[in-house]
Amino acid sequence: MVTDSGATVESWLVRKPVVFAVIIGATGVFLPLFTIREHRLDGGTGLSLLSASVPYSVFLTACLMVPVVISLVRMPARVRAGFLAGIGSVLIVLPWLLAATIGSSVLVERELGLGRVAPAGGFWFLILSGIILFSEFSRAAQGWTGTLLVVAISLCLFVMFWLGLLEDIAFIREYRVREERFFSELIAHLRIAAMAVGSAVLVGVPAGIASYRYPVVRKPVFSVVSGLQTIPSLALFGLMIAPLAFLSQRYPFLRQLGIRGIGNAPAIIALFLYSLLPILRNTYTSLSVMDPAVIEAGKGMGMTQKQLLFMLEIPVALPIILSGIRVASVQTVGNTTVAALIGAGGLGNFVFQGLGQAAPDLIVMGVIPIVVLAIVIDRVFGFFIGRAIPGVRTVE
Amino acid sequence: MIEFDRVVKYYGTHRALDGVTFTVPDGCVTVLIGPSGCGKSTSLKLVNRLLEPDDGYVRVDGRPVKSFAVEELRRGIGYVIQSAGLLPHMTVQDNIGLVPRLLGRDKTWRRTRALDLLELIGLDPHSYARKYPSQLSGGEAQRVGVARALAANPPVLLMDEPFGAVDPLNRETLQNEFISLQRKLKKTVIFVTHDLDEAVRVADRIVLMQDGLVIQEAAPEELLGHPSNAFAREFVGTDRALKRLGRFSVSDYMSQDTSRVESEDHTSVPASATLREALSRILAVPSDQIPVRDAQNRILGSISLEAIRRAGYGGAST
Ligand SMILES: Nc1ncnc2c1ncn2[C@@H]1O[C@H](COP(=O)(O)OP(=O)(O)OP(=O)(O)O)[C@@H](O)[C@H]1O
Ligand SMILES: [Mg+2]
Repeated sequence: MVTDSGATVESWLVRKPVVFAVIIGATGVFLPLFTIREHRLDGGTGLSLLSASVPYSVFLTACLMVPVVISLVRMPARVRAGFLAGIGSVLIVLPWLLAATIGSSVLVERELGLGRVAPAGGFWFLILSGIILFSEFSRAAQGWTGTLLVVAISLCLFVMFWLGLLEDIAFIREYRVREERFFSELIAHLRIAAMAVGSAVLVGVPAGIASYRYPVVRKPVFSVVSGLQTIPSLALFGLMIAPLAFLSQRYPFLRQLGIRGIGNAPAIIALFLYSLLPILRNTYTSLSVMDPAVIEAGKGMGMTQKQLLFMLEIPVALPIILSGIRVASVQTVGNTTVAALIGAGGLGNFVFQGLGQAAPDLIVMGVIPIVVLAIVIDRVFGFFIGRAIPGVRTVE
Repeated sequence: MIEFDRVVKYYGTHRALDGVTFTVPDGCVTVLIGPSGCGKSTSLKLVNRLLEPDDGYVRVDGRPVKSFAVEELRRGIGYVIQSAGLLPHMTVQDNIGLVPRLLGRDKTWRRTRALDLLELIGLDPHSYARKYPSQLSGGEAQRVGVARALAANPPVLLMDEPFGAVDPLNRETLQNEFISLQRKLKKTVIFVTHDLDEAVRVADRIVLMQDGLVIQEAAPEELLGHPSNAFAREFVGTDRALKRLGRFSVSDYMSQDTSRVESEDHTSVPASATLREALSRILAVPSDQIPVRDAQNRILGSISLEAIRRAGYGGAST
């Protein structure tokens, strides 16, 4: 029974994401779930759940009805959130299971030994609806529920993969034929991104501190760094080529260090320049919004300039500085993809190869780990930022 | 001893202090009082060199503050700032231990000291020591600010409205704590307040300021008895005679004679009270005198309206 406005607001907040998730999930049931391809360049034919398997479509529809029912029944908020996050997890895992069962059996039926099951709209929509439910409610479920569900989802997917149930999925096929290269590119990707962000931290944080301490420094530093940010990433990568090629021609020792017009060096430099702004801006802002009374207290207690910086200003500013590094990291993991264009390694190689060969499965194979990396990095930072400095409030 | 010698301070073109001269004797509480914006906080910050004067001198023990190494100077001066200014990333106990830490005291010493000081300012050490400033009320934060200033046992204390955010009841308790503590510790204190009653209660000397100028520098009885100009008269208010009575103790003006005291009198006054309280109680009874009792509730003598009037008038005329 809804008796006061608080309850109405709460129940609407519960329902809104549920409504979105259910609409998106239901759309997924009607869209083609997979494309069945004879070979990697075949356009393929769509396979929708309704036509493929009646029992599964009934089960899926039931899954989608559960959140609606749960959001209408009266129960403690955290129990409700737990249920909804659980259903979300089921919706994330289920499409993979459908690929392993329905998809694979269609291949057998049609005698397509070398055929493949390419996830299509329905597949992604179902996962998306699961992600919406999960991310909306896993936190409200409190305790370890969210963490346990993440572990359960990862475990399910890993076990399916390990047992070979997912081998017919198109991008897994692509992965299998270049397993070794996948890992070397993954590591290259991480290395490029880490070196870029790492050097941006080494330059951006001191530059932010300097801009705060010495107002004359601020204007030039900020205009250069913000100016860099306005150059489109592709153009910046291109711009790196000529000067570095020239330098490495001119000074052979640079070439020995691996610095050439194309390859890792220009990519890292360009990504480094891109990462500077969020780190610089957050460092500067975090210091300049600090309560002047606190600084006055620090000085009044007899802290030296150095003690003031390391015992007071930096610790208090740390959560905001870390948020800047978080933004830079997530952004760089994405941008590193483009770096493949100028001959740097990384997962972008698969994406551009896929584009060149008109092989969508290969593109997907490259993109999925990039997305997963970005999410994991974001979450890891989120975890640490919330706990970095106990007394200092942080905004999520 | 702290001396202000024709001190001038500008903020941009605004003259916040316009040739301020006054003296803060050792071991005394000197209260700076005056309307908002008259330059009280500015004066304090000139002592620990958070600000530098544009003209004139501030001297501590005869030496211009400029001649001290700034960090040494500050570590030797306890500073309670107007808005508490606790460091948000440190627990209460670490905040209190900050100056001792800068002075190289070890952890155990700092913790013991913090717990003692919490006890002293009336916050339960075990529930407050590990709290963060964001978990404190404004008044609690201010009290921790006072504890922090006392931690390294500095000879000089600068207190900028230290009890401003505390409720009236606790405020009075803290003032009394402060007074009895000061009797023991004999620190050289500059105490800033808006509140004349507070000033009268804690001050050995009062410096009344207006618009960056010192209007009067005097003992509280003197300021209340003889305000030096129209502003001072207005500032101390029409009840200045009453306020002044707050400076005198009943024990100094009572008579030992108990013959006229009727033992069934319900209204009495403790010997430790002020004449102001005694007057208030006499006005509530039909008789013109009431018994004075000690802490054990024994009758010591009596205090009469006449004696109070003489004290008030005598003060006002000398
Ligand atoms: N940082 C500053 N920049 C410019 N003007 C200032 C600054 N600090 C104070 N002032 C001005 O100087 C004058 C004196 O300020 P101060 O803080 O000493 O006043 P105060 O007596 O402590 O007042 P309050 O009782 O309100 O705390 C005020 O007019 C104020 O506006
Ligand atoms: Mg002030």
